[in-house]
Amino acid sequence: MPYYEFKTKDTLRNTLKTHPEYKFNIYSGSIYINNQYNIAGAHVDNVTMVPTGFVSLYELNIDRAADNKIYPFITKDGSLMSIGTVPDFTYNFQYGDVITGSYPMSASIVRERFLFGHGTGSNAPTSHIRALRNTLNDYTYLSPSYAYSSSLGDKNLQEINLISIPSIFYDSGIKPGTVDLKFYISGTLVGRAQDKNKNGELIQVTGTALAQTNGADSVAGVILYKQGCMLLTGSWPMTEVSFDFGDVTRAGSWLDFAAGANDNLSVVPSTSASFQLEFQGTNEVSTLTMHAIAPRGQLNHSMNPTYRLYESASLPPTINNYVYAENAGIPIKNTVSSSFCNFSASFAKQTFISKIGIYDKERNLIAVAKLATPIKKTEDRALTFKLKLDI
Amino acid sequence: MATTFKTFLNNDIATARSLLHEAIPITGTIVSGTYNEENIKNYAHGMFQSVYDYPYLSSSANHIFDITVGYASGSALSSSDATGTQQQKKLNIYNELSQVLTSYDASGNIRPFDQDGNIQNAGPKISEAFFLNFTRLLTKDEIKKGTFTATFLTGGSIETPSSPMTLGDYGAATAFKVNSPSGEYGLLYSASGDAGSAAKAIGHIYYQAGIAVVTASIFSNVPLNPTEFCDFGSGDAMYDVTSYKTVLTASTIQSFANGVRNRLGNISFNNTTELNSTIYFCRANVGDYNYSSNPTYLNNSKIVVKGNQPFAQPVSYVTTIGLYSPNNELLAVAKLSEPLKKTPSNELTLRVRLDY
Repeated sequence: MPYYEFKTKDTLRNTLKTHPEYKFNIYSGSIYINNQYNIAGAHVDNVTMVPTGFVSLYELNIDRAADNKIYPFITKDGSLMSIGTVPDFTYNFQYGDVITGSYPMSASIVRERFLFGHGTGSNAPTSHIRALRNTLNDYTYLSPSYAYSSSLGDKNLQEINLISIPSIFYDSGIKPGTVDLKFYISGTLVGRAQDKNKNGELIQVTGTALAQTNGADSVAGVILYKQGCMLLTGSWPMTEVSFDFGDVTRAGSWLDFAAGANDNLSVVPSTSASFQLEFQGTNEVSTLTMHAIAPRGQLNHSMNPTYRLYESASLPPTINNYVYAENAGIPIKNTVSSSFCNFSASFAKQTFISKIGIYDKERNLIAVAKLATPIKKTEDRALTFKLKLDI
Repeated sequence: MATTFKTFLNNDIATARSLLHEAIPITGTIVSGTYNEENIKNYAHGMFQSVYDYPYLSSSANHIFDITVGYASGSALSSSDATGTQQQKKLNIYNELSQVLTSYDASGNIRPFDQDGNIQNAGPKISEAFFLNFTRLLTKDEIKKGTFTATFLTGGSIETPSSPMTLGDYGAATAFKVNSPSGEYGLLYSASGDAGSAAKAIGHIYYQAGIAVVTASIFSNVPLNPTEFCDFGSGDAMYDVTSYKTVLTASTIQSFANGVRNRLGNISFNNTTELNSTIYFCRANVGDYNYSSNPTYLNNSKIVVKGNQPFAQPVSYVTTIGLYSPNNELLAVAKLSEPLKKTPSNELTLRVRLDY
């Protein structure tokens, strides 16, 4: 079997971008992802065994009894490996101890509301907004609305509605221009904000007459595309009457968006209010395209035993104390088909290529590409096979 | 961003391999009972049956293993089943799996499964076997040796099966076979006390392939020398209540798989995932990395270090480590949980681990 080396122009490296879309509906303290509802199983209320509105990482434990779950474990050794969810400082493990984890692991969006003055005084150490200061300022090249402190507002003081999206939903970043927030009261759309300028500003694009009077085309907040954080600061009222949003009763504004989304409210928000959050993530798949060339006049011989005539069994090899030599007279099978009845076509060397092996520098077989149907290779024919590998 | 690069020396790079395991319990109620057969997928070709952990029409369901059965051409059942149902398929299944798992003998013939795993001698063979083929989702890189157990009910009637027998690869953590082209395998015994007595083996567990091969004769009074056979079949297909032999010769692979599921208790094993790591020891010596090219290192955009104290020790805070290729292409970034203070009076060795 001959080997051919890929030349520089025979391989291409590309990145394929995919944009998975997610839709979160938040209603009465519950989150629904992509309109999925719970499926009751024989052992649990939700077969994925995670709360409503959460995704299950790996989805290994499906409808299992509490004492019958798959769980990971690792034996402590000198490699300093541990289970990610087991903090090193929690237990003093000895060599040989078994460190266990648990499945399923889950993730969902989280809402945090920060009251006015959250970044000052005794509140400051607990404000997650302060941790975003540098990140927000880094984004000011997109829009001045990101600035942590400017004439547009001081995020150290402002009341802020922070919605955090785990990266499992968007991978390398949220796609600009796809973020869509909808605020409903009793099924009526009272406000809608989008990053229509693709610069991270969440601009109120439509809504009720009151909402538009107060905040049409205003910036309701900003989104950190790479970090998956939305900071909503739009405080203008969008509803005529007040509603209970769990921790505050007032006319609805963007500060109350997604109330009930894993925000540990002691009171379930009003059933009149519901919210929808849509966006597309960005998943980059690196692909390697290889062009495997079967040159003219080559690869026309096979080492496969079936390449020879069956009668060649009567032509034994030469075997003695010094040599093993195949019989030079072994005929090759003529596989050329004739277009005419009772007529054998002239002999020509041809093979049927069924697979292509990819080897590394040390000639270790690292990948095999199989053809759907064997391709005929004749001496006067050159072939190029295009192989694509997702990395 | 760094403006100076340090080249790794040979003793700055180490490799490590860690083994992560998962405990996989499969209860018999999943296999038959809980989901009223909705998690069992049968195919038109009828050559094997797939078991899911939940009704397979649900997107949440995971494929967990396949069941199939076959016999060797040298089996007595083969000759008695000349006109039997799916005879050729049963032969093909056996031949295919034995080709993959035991390969060929010196004459180029397919080697049947050897009962004690010693292919050099002409010992007894497992000529009629059923196969449990576990998915990669469960076995990952391999099944951990010495952890596989499977319980079968080998007596009683179809409605009330009894006589549980727990098969296990007892002792395989230290004694396993390496003469298979598919990797390592252990012998299955019906009792831990049999470990090491290869003549008492009643099956094989192939660790990397994730396949259990069990002699069909376990559904009898004495697995290796049966004289009495339990009723065999599934409750919903009362085609036979005589013995596994009758089912194997007169019925389909699917029917046999139903019978196995009906008599399957629990399966349990631990899987293994190999985590290969390269550890880079990034050493910041006394005179290294005490300055920063970060704009915030300067005072009001002037080229004056903050504080404007020319005789004070320089100081920087390490927050990020970049790993670069020989062409200075940034390949990976490691972030510290908190910045580390670096001055000319201290040295740092930062251990960066890259898992793949």
